[in-house]
Amino acid sequence: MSTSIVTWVGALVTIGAFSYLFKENVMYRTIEHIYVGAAAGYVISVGYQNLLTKAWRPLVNEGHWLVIIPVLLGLMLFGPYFGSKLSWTRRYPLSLIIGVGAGITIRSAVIEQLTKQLASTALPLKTINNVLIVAGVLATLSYFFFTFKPTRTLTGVSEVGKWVIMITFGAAFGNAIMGRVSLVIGRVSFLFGEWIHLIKQ
Amino acid sequence: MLIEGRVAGLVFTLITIGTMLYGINKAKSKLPNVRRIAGLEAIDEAVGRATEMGKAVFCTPGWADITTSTAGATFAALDIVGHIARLTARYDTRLVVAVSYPNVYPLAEQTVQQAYLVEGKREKYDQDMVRFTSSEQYAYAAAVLGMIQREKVAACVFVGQFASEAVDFAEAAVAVGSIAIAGTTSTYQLPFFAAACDYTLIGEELLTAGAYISKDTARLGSVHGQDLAKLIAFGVMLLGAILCTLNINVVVDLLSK
Amino acid sequence: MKREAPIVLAGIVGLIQILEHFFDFEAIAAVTVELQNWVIIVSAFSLALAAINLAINHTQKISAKKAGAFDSALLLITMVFTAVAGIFWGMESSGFKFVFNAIIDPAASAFYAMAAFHVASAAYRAFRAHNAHAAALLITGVMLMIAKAPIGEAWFPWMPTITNWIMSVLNLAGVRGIMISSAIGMICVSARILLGIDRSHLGLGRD
Repeated sequence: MSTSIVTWVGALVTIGAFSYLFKENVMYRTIEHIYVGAAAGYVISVGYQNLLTKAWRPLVNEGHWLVIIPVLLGLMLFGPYFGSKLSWTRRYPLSLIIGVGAGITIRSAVIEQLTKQLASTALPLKTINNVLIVAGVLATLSYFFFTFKPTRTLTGVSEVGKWVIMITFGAAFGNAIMGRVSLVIGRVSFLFGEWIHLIKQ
Repeated sequence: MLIEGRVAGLVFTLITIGTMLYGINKAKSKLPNVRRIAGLEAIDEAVGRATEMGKAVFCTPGWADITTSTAGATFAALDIVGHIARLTARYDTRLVVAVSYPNVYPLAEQTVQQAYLVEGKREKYDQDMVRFTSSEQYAYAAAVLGMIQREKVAACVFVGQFASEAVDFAEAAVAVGSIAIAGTTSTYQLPFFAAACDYTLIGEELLTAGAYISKDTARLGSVHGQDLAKLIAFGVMLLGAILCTLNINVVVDLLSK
Repeated sequence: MKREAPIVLAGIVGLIQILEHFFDFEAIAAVTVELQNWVIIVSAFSLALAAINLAINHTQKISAKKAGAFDSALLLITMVFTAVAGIFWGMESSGFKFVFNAIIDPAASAFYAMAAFHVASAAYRAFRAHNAHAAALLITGVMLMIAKAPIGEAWFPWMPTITNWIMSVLNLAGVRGIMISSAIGMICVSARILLGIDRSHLGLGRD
């Protein structure tokens, strides 16, 4: 059996987490709260480091005064806690975050998910597989027409799309199961190998 | 100077935004009919069921930050959270919203608070309704699994961006006998939601939620604009395939520019 | 002005992100880098806000002696210990590393692995589904499982050929169709915010 306290705590944490599979219980609850607390402490430490490297040091060491703006914006998040009259302050930091997020979404979606996929679908219709790929993509896309008049053709094509989607889901599902099983094996070998040395490492 | 390989992307961005603005403008004179989306219709039914049973409604806007490429899904998820909060405020049903990323927290808090305000139930809003869990993936998962079990929920709504925890959530909801409604744009997680949940919002169905729920003219018009953009994409692929068959690669070349 | 300024700010910030992606201008690239730093700084404050919420909720549970008060105390103790260890002793300190190696890492691995059991029960649920679409999902899923398992391949040697075809033709088509429509949806959701058409996320509603 292992004499390492890290391994022991790790094993108890693993058993506690797995115990959820039977029922939510005291052990799970304990592990859950310890884990959430530890993870919160971890991200607080990372957040502190970010403030140090991105705000405090550039300000103090390099005289980079511009960082005062995001610091002020950050402080404005707390405005609503000082009365409803200050609730507007939160809108400014949020608009910065939302603006960046919306911009990044557009730039990431349009090339990787759109133009590259359109180009890859424009295949020569010389093999059955290519015909099926093009037809499958078009049918799937038809499923996502929300406002067009439901003519017989559109309804039929989008129904084919729904079938393609379901087969896609089935394929992804079956594909994932075996990968997930190997993860369980990894945890079992930790418990029986590293912890109680029942399996030779 | 335009960056090589991204010209087609810029053109498509402009086309999509153009069709969206056209759709919005058109909606001012004629509101488009949006086809029924079962997953969204089911939300009202699920909240009603929780109210009748005197149990809580649980929802989470996913595990993703709003400063990343999946922000669109999180924005759509927050629209759904807002809708649920209005319903729970109206019916005095208990609501639990679990948030993973810190940046999403103030948005979710504001969304729920505003819903209670709009419904004239400001005093019913409780800070415990919107709970920050953790941006650490499995700490978030652990907290959500625990909440579903402990809070005696009758309806679970998982919307937004998810990773491998998706299947855990869906199964946890089913285990407590709750109605499970899920929606995501992640093609990796959709199969698990589709297999285990009662209703699933597939990809763009989630992104249409805001318009569908609000019945707002501009947003509904925008959905019509989205359809027009898809029709253009449909045409480009079909034309590209036909031309490719004739050994003319002009469409593929243009898309690669 | 109070209502319009956040919309304008979001619009400008978003536009800069988009322009930087398509155009090669040094000035825009520099502004984008600065903005992304700003987001990291503001995110640290969001984290503080969220952590305060977590602490308040659990402190209230303890002071009200509600059910789960002991668990809340555990959460707060671990949170404070880890944060103190990370901030004052450093993220390379033995205290911080202990929390990471003994709690965070094994818990994450265990929860990740737990999904395997849930995938199995989700498959069982799909088995009981009584509509044709669910049956399509199930049959394809089972075929893929058989093809991936060594024993399945031994019993049905032709199965991998079929499943490879499903993956490279039907699965590809489905994923691509969902991806293209989602991309268009994502662009519109984001553009509506940047153009000030959808103001609800800024707490402004539509007016």
